Amino acid sequence: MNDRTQVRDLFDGLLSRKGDTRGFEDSESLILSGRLESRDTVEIVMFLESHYGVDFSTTDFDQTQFDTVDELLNFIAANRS
Amino acid sequence: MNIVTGFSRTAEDAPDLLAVSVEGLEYSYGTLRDTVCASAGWILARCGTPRHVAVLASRSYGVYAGILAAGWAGAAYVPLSPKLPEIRLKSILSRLRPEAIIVDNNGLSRVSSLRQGEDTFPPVLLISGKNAAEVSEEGSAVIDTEPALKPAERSASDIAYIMFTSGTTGEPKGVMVPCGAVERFMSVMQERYRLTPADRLSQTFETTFDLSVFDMFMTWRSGASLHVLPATQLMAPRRFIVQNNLTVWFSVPSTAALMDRMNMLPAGIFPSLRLSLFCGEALGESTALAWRRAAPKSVVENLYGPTEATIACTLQPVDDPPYSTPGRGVIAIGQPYPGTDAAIFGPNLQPLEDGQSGELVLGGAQLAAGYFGDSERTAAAFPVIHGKCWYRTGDLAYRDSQGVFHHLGRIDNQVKVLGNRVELEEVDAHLRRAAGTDLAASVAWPLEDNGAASGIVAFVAGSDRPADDIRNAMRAAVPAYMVPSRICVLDRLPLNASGKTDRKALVAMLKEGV
Repeated sequence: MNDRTQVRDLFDGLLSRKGDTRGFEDSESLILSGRLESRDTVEIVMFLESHYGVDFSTTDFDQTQFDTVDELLNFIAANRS
Repeated sequence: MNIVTGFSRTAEDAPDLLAVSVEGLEYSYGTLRDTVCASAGWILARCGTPRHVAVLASRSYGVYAGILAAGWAGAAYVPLSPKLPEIRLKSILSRLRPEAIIVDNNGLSRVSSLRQGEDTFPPVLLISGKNAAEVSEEGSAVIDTEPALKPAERSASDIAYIMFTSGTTGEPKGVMVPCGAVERFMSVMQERYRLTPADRLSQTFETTFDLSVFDMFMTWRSGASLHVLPATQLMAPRRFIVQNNLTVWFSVPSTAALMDRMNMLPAGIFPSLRLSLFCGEALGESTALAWRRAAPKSVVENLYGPTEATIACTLQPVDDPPYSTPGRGVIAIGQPYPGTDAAIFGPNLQPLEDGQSGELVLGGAQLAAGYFGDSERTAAAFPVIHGKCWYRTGDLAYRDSQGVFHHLGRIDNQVKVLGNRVELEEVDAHLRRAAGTDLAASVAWPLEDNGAASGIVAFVAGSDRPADDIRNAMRAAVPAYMVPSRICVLDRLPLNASGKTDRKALVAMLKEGV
């Protein structure tokens, strides 16, 4: 499974848990638009740690970097270990 | 005894110092004072002697200048979130009838729809950047009223602010806090923490949350600077703390707990912090210790207090090992501030012995003046017992033999969702309307280790409406933190022995993974 599919699956799972099955584009805002909540960020962080070995004890982020599929892919490219 | 007196003094003595850093811009005390004087002058010219000024703004220069201008003009400020659903904003405004509304650009975007259908609407002042303009249906005009050069005189019993919080009936309650109570709180805090112009304070709380009063007014009375976190950095504010060299941190424990869970609190990461305060919900032991290690030079303290007793009124320093509540893994809520009385009462409002658990009641100089326009609820929550007024917190607690108080949860169905106070009955009331059924109930979920909740899950039975529609209807009625993150449709709701919906059984279902 490539990175894009994995990231889409992650967002898809978070959204469908809220009953949101509208679908989304890779460039579509998901957190700042209110479809996901800031507390979902924790799950995104855990996903990044377990799948890509991102070390958050040394890595900074803010929510704007996790807002779309494309942005999260950029974050992964810059921070995977 | 005006809450802006300290700000006024600092602006007079040291106008060039940094007062607030917000949205990437820095504003000195002198600049902020100019905006405040101009805006307060406009309020006085347009409203005579104002009682209530609503401030519909968030995390902008306008919200801080607006709050100060309301106080400067001698009014109680009433903070309102521009994110509130229209129906809720209209309900508060129609009850409150403020003489003026101050908005930032976000607040401005709500004004035209709020105006619709109203025969009268208060004058609106937009503070955008350093400019202030009156906004009417015809357009906006830069104000040219005489500035008010000195803050209005206020007495200890005058109302400093009104905070609207969740109420069980479906209507929010407006807690009226007098200037004397705020002054008392601030003098106790200043005696303890000795803030100076060298201090750099965080501002994590929305101004609709009374803990923001500490951030703003403690900063400005001591000539320190206030550093406002952008909403996008609230979840993981490590970079913000480091880059801004903050010396004082104040947030809900959830923020620290989430950072700890994300491995974002390595030892020594916050060398600049000298004081770290947590309030608004239970502070977990492991979170508190992780923060101590991350901020090795910082005093860490756990504060407790309802809005009705002005911001915070008990505290417990976090040592290593910490003074915790046995068997719960959370820091004790500590001892009352000087001037605050705390006691544990039984069901007939009789005092209980140390070690016995009962309702925590508070008295003394920090008590609020009651609920806006609701003398019945005020009398119920603030009973006079043997000639002394107490506030019934609804919190279950006990005092140990050392005189330290321990919080055990709630007597009623009030919960904290990421620090926000929510009455589950209020969620239920809106849920019944949204789902078109009386069979509706909500619970706080998921629960963190410290007992705090990070969301709400709703259960409905007998509704033919899709969960998405119910959620959308909830979004239009209540603040975002009260909107259920999940809506479970059941055939029937479990009932307890007295025939009421059994919330414990609903939580048990969630624990089983429903």
